[in-house]
Amino acid sequence: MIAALAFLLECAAVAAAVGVLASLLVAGVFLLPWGVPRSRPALRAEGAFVLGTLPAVVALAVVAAAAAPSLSAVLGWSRDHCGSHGHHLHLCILHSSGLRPVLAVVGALSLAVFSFRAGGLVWRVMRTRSRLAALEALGSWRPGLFPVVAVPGAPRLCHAAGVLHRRILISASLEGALAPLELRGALAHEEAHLRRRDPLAALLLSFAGLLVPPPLARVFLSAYQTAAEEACDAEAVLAVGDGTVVAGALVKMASLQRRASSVAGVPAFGQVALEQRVRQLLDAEVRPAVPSRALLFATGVGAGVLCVALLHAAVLHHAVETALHFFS
Amino acid sequence: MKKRTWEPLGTLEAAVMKVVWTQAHVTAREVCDRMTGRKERAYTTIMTTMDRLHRKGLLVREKDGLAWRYTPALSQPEFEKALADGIATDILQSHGEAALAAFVDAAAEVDESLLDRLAQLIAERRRGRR
Repeated sequence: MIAALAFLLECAAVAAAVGVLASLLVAGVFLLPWGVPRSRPALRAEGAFVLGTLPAVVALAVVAAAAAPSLSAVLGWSRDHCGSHGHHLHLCILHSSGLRPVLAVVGALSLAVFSFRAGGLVWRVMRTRSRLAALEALGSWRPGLFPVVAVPGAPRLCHAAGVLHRRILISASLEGALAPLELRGALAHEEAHLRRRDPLAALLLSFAGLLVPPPLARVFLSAYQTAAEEACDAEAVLAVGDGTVVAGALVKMASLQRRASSVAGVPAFGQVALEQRVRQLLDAEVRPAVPSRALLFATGVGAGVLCVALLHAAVLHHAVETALHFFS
Repeated sequence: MKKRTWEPLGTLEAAVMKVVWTQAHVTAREVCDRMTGRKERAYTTIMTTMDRLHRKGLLVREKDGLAWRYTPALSQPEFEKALADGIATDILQSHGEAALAAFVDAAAEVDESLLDRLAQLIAERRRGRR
């Protein structure tokens, strides 16, 4: 029992430490002058998604590789490895070194923070799901590749929602508030989000952010969202053929939300992003739409990192044990 | 004054309100009599539900002999609009992480002068093209 608890807390401490270190490195990479042109938002979104999920992927891969020899020995898949390095702490269920105070505290704290943040995120997702269901029950559905749900109320909703059951949610009153071409632009923007699977990507980034300090998690998510919004703006321009129409719709929508909303202002990426998006739309050339490969790239990178970690499991296991021994 | 926000109704509450909306000035007994088949409930259940709806502010009531006579405080479209506005406020706050993407980030601070400046910029660009 003590061995299993020590193993769990040590794994939690390793995941937290690797997550923090990897996110600091990734944050450094974010600050580098990459030279990706502003006119290629889809490419920036893909890069931001891969980098944003990387700390969590690396943390999980390191923990998996470090725990693999012990778990494999417990399951009888390999022989007991601990005899080969008896001079330091064992990250092992079979030959536990017992609960070391420093590791136990760090591990318990990491586990508690992770559980608290994960619980909060799951609660917010479930609450939003139930609110969406309640709102959709009041609305009328228009079929299509991505169904549009027109809901009653003030003109302020224009959202792409859903991971599997993808749909667009708009305030029915928007039809009177926006010109027909502007509304077409706004819907084209939301359709682009659904084609690119941005709601799923944002959800995955939020879960990946649980292994990262909250301020950095917000930076990674906001970098992805800003680039994704610009990519969808570009697709909306393609649909209506005029950047000023989409820019006009953006400004009108922001104005309508400001008037109708009692939402407390949060200094997010909105103000700068709105101005940036409008200026870009005014200068934009109509470019062909590029399908998003963010999820594909991230899956590839994740699988690659995990394979490399597991192929070097013995080395990583030993390195992690040495580091834990040194810090405890 | 703070605007009142409404929560979605439960199944029985919705069924009761449907009856009250179609026929105002009803007693719990009359609502109970109209709820037949799968919707049928005990009189006391209907009475308790209508009392709860009154406390929530959805029904107003006046004494009629020994019974209460209930009237809807809002019409069905008014209630649905107010409910939708309340839910929309919640949804606007949760933009980002909860599998939602918005055309405009409502949770951001955008001041009126910025909007005016951007609208002017767009108008100038349109004029410049002509």
